[in-house]
Amino acid sequence: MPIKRLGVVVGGGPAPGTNGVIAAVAMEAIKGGCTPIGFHDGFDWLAQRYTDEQHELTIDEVSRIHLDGGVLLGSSRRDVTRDAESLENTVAALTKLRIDALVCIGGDDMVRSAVTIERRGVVNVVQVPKSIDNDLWLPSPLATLGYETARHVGVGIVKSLMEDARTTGRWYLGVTMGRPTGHLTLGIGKAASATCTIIPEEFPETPISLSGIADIVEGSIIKRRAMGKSYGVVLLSEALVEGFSPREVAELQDVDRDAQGNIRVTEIDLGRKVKNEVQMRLEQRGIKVTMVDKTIGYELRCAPPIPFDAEYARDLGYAAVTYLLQGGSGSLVTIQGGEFTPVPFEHVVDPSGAGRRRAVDITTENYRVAREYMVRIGPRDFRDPAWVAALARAGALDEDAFRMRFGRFASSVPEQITGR
Amino acid sequence: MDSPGRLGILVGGGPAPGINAVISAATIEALNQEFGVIGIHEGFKRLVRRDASALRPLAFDDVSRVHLLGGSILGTSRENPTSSPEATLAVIETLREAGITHLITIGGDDTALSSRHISEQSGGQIRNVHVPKTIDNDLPLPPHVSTFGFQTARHVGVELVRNLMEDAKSTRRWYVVVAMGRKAGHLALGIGKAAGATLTVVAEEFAAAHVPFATICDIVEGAIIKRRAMGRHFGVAVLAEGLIDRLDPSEVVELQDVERDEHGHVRFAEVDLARKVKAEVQGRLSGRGLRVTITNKNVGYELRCADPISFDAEYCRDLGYGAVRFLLDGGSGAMVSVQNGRFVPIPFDDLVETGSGKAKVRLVDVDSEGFRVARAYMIRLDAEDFVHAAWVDRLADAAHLTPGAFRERFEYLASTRP
Repeated sequence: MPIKRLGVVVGGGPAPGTNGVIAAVAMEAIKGGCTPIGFHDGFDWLAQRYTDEQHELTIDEVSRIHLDGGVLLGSSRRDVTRDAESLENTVAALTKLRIDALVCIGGDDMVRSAVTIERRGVVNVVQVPKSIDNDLWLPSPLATLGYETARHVGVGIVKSLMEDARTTGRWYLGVTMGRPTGHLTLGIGKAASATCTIIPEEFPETPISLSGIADIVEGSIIKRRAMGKSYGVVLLSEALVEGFSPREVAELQDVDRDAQGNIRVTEIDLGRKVKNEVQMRLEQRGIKVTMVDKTIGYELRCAPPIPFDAEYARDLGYAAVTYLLQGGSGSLVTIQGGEFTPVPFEHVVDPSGAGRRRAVDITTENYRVAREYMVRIGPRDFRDPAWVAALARAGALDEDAFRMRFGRFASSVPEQITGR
Repeated sequence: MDSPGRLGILVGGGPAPGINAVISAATIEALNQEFGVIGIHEGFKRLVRRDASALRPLAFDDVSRVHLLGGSILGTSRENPTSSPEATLAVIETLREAGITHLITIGGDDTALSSRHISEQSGGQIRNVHVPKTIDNDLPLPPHVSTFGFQTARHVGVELVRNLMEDAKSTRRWYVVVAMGRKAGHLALGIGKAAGATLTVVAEEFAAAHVPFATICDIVEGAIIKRRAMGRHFGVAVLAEGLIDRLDPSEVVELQDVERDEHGHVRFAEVDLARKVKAEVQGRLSGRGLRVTITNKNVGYELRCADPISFDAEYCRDLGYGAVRFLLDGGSGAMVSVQNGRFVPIPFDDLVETGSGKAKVRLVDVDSEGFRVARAYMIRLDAEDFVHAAWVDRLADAAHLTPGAFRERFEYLASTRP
């Protein structure tokens, strides 16, 4: 059956390049003889069986939006699989609107809805992988749409913070978005060459402890002091908090609790907590270090796309439409080696239907390079007794205390993985 | 030509875009005029400690390519050399031992006053000129003359707020953004007005000494309600950091034992105003069954070391050149400014309040046309919102309040418009 009416819907947090996909989809659909319909605000309205929160996209509307940030159609996190009613409403509304094919632009949350709708068999569905988090289940070097722009803008901010840190002789603790993975944090930290970047993938064994993170940060500060540098920038992935032990968090003061009195672990102000902990430790030993915490993330999501994402968005949108018009369905749209490659949905969701997430692979050369240029205490810092003495002095500790505190980094897990 | 002397260049206070351009312009012109030029690293910090290694010669090659870079090649610090007679003496003696006869200081009001003090206490042996630098735009210059760095900071801030505005619209949420600027609202208003944020709140709007925290929240909540009544479920509120300074300490626990810097100023970053306003307003709205996503965000530190935009790059060349020329002409004890294309020295005495000796702070003039225009395009509850009963009903409906309760809660805001 030929595709007559092709819908576009955007889910999840905004990412640069989304408008480029909407534009490419609409133009190619019109060229292919079908009508592009843009749905507003993700699945919000469809899930309530609304059939008037969408409009027909025209060339004039979309021909100039591909370099704009934001989402022309609006977005939401509405998950149509949350309850049976939402799914029934969505399928009914799409049927009533005679939608034959649907392009879902979104991340790992969106994919669950896309897969479930597709399995109902009334509409052909593809998904365009869009996320600043870069954590969709794609083959290794492929980035999700928006990631490169987000990290580009993030690098601009971190570059300013690095210059500020050097100019004012202080430390910045940047907490970077990207739950539940460390891609965005590491991508920014590596490209900007931040002093040290800490991501949850380094800690394969949960729980992750706040004091453990503080140890790494404190170690970096001490090592830099021993190198004669009193400043730096540490990037922490906000996803670290998801691995925190509730027991350790419960001992913290000033944490948000929900109506039942449970601690909202993910609401912890990670930067502030680490800053307070490290600053207190150093102050107790008479070392005054100015530290400032800073969150990075929301300001990246709607930046205008850089050329990489602007071009990538056009490729993805075009590929999505040609695939659907050829009768394709049930795939994630990817571009591999310059060629459109559909990845079947069953590869990108787990048995429960949830989107699989690609974590940072810390066994790669890529990660190893990132790690090699960080300043943190590692095995090599324990080889030369004179250097151990210098580090201990810089930390206002005696050598035994220094070894006691930081000795475990002499054989830390990621470094074993990277072969050192 | 005989050397006119040896010039030291020093940077104090927080960084601002364009510092390197001033250093570059001053160094090149000073070398052209046969001065020896010494870069003084880390502000007054190492001078106070008599650390002569902080003094290093500057040559053409050191400065010819730095004018478009953010940061400061000489570093900076907030060290206060007027804190004790010993500190002052240490600075003067260290400078004199290095043969420094002239001093250019680049900084805000604290650095200006330190510079004046050093020059005065040196008995005229060190002649000085100050280049006013701050992203806060709060030095007592004539209206429309910016401090250098302000335009770049606001430019970068507008980019960030533009992204947040687009994000707010795409995800139907509100952002509460607190912008740096110390006591003055210039940076917040400059960003908010240029970006077209839904509303911007600056401390200068309020006549009373203390601004109740509840009032700030009422303004933000009122704007959210008004936008809802207009069918818009998103927006960006920009709040000036200066509001923190005007909060009643008895109301805000963090203000009771707040950290202060070397010059006795409150470290504004210690009070997370954005987070507090978000929590309060979201709590109020959800208490009435209104689900509004509000996200808090601080803007400031990432602006200070951005690469200067053309405006500041050019402006800083003028200022650096003007500073050297002023010294060469025998001047001392003033701040350099460029007004209508001409160099105008401003005596240090004009920078301080008569009597208290405290630095004058140029605040946002809420009676100006510039503020009027900014205000006219904001969406806030104003007097006209309480005129027509039908509109009040609609606002009250959007607020999940009765019209009577709505008036009781918000009508007082109508009279706060400057």
